[in-house]
Amino acid sequence: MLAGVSSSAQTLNLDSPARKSYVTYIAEPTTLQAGKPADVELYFRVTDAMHINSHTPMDSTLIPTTLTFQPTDGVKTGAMHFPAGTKYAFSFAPREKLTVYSGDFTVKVRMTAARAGSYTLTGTLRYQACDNLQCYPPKTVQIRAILNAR
Amino acid sequence: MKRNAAVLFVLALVCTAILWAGWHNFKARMRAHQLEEEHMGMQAQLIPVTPGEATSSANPDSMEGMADLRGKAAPEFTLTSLDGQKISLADLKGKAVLVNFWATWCAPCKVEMPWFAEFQQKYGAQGFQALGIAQDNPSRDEMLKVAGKVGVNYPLMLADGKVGKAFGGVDFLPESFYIGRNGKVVEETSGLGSKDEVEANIKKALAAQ
Repeated sequence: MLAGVSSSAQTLNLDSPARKSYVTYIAEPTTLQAGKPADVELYFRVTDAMHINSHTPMDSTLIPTTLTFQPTDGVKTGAMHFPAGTKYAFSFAPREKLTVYSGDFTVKVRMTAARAGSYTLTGTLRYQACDNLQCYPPKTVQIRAILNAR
Repeated sequence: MKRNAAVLFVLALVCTAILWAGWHNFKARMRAHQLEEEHMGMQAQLIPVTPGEATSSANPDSMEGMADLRGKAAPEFTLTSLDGQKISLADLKGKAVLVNFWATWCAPCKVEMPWFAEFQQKYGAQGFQALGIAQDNPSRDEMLKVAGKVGVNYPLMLADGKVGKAFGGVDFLPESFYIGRNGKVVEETSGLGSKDEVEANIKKALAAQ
């Protein structure tokens, strides 16, 4: 997270139904300087033994992990930077390589707060998860990012 | 002296009775606790499963989360293939049929689809027919794209919202049902298995009269 984190991490899991969510959003309020663009880091955790496609899967028919935000007064969102995926292959097809996220991963989003104040941005991360043998339908996880601009 | 001895005897008797009662009470409480634990254990085994979840399985690794249709008549369906042809399971009576649920976004599905195509070629003349049912409602172009990429030579169809439920609810992919010539499900698998397993299941379906 950026310098100026003002509280400890809080785990939010707003996916529904709960027992079928495979990605958790780990919310951390972020402090940034009003009027100056900053890269806000958003933390996600993929359930153990699962993986999701990266933002740029190698096959165009696969569903990439994407992030969208609803417009928020006073905050402008810009470029997003997704991490590179890890190469992955199913055991019965070792030559068919995919790029995936597993464990923890971070997405950086360029944000600018126009004025000092506290802002809550809402958005969704869309992903499609698999384990080592099977895949599950695409899902979304809700995001609530709290920004404190000074 | 005699009186003291009598008092001591009575005291010893009372103490013995108290100890015996205490021990008996302790044993009774332990037994009650044990019964309670056994009852809790039985309750834990009686938690109902949700629809579509397996209650028993000879091969839990490959069937986890699936309804067990083995030995039962395969659910009837009629769906339209990519080339517009209506295909009913009833039309394939006497053939060994593989009903494979897949999706365009399912990477392991696309690993096994070329195997199905290979076995369609190999066993088609013996009465084997593979059918692919897309669960993600893709466009015709998307299906054609996948079909071309993985070299599918068997009918691909769109699910109609009912066929998945009829097969016990398809919660994850791939799922495959191997139907014998007698119309009964002889084997079902979830997730990506090996090519050898697929071939063995096809042979099993061909052998089921």
